[in-house]
Amino acid sequence: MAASLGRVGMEAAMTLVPLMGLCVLGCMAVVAAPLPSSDMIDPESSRARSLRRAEARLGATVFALAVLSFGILFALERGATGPILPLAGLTAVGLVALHPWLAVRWCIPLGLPRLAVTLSRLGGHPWVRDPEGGGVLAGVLAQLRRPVDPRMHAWLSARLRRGPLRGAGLVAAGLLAADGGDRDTARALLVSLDDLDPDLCPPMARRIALDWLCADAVRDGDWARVLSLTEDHPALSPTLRLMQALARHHRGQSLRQAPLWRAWLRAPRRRHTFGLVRGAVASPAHLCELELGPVELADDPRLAANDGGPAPSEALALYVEALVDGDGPGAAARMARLAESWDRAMDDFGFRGHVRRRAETLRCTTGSEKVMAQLHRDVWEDLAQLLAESGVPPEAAGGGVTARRATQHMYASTLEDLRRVGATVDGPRPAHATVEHVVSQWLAWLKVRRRYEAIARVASIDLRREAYEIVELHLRQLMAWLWNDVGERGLANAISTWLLLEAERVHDEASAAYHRHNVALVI
Amino acid sequence: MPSSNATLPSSATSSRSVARIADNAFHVLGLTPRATWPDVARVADALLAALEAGDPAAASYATPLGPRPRTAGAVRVARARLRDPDERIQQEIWWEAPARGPAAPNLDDAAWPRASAAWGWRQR
Repeated sequence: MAASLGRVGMEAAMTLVPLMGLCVLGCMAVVAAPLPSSDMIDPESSRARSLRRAEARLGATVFALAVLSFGILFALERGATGPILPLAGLTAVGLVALHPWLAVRWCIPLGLPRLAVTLSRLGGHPWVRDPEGGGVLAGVLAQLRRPVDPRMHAWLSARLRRGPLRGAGLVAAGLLAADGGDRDTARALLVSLDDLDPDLCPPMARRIALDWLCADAVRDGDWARVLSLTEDHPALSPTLRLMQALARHHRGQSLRQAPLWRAWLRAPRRRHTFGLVRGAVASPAHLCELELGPVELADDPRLAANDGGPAPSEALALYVEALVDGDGPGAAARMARLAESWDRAMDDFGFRGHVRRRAETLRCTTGSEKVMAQLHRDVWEDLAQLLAESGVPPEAAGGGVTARRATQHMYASTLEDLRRVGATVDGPRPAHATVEHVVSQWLAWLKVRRRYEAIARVASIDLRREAYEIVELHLRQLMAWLWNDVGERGLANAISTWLLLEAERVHDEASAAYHRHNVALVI
Repeated sequence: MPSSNATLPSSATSSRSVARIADNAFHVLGLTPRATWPDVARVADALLAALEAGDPAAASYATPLGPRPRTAGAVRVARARLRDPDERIQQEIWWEAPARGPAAPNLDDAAWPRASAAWGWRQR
């Protein structure tokens, strides 16, 4: 009897020790969890809310595992193994409820968007920073594995209407736009992810955006864009590593085939990418030979830009060159040559005489001087636009008549253009806006910013300040509407942050103070 | 008629500047400044008839910036421009713009329309 009691006591001691050990380990896990002290951040901020969500799930996970361990030990102590399996099953269900991504990650390749959205609504990793948008994004990813389905597209778009638009929601909106065939909108939305506060954007959403942007660039064969997207990225997926290796090969930066094939072997879906790698090895883009167009003799001599020739042949050749090469390397020198060449052409007696004789032959109603004046006006207006679009400062185009008039025209026309584009964000602003409305306003802002930045690249500080005053007038109202009426604080914060940086650049102290205050508000 | 393999890159510039070269009335009609008004009218009528008949030879025209699709509207606008002497002389000056020599590398060879497959996504 005494021996049997001693055996039971020893067994109890043997089970209590690991139980205590597990409890200690659990406590250590909670203590050692890398969570910053909650008093270091504003409790109402997005970061604090995300942290609280993550902490609650971590605590619940530790609790579920502790209950499982305790239950198993208790059952073993009683000599019963029957409850172990149901208990393990129950714990597994609990863990999936706490971390639905465990199941959602299988729904995506299986093409189950509804289930992915439904499960993702339970929250958890990886959408802690944007649970609402993350759920829809998971559904969109699953939808991308299925054939085109307009009804599912509409259903997913409707799910996006819940909650404020954050990082994952923006990516979902972008992928839905791409699913609808609008790649430009998708590109704009996904690129704009960088404007959002990092606390509003789940890292997984960023990775998905990068994947899509790379796929978009590969689709166009734009390997330079692939390189710029993937360079300096700390953790590329195997597929992105493969695309980076292909981009380097196409750009002539790495001609060895071994790294390319190694990247291909490490990447998934090798059957699909084999042709791409084989094609790159066989004919890298940088080795494509330039094809020279056949020279055909026309009625009049046609001379290349570098061959000079009678006016205005050289000017016209340079004009075509500026059109074709755009903002490629050497744009500033190209624009300067173009402006100088037109100066020479407009002063050329031979050309002026030719125009005079031709005007007489054709019986023009205006004199040849007016014909020349009209031509010169067309030239400087076009040059102004070329300068703005190629990002060449007007001063770089030289000090000739054509360059000076192009500069004057550029200043006048770009500000007018900016006023017109800026007015596009002044659309109707209902108190209860749909996500479509918010997205369209966000896209309008991105367009205004692109136009402003094109001007800012070439503008003097005075012109830049004037341009800033124009866009700030419109964007301040948009920002206030997003913040106050729609509750889109993340988007409003992004706009305010950009306005603050610009206000500091143009030394607009009052505006900078206003936006500094807004940026400091909790989002 | 000049011919060119030049293609405008995606960064290429404003539509107005491009149109000045590519929509030149002489290019649209496939004529040179030597053409008289009767020549212009005759060619324009023939092109309109060919376009209406769906003749593929009339569907595009060569410009210094590469081939462009020819439409009945463009033909009518070109004819109207060459009818007006003040407009015609401007068209004659811009017609002299030469074709760009070397073409940009053809990015289509390196493009991969099925890129989404690498990520397991369907096309579009």
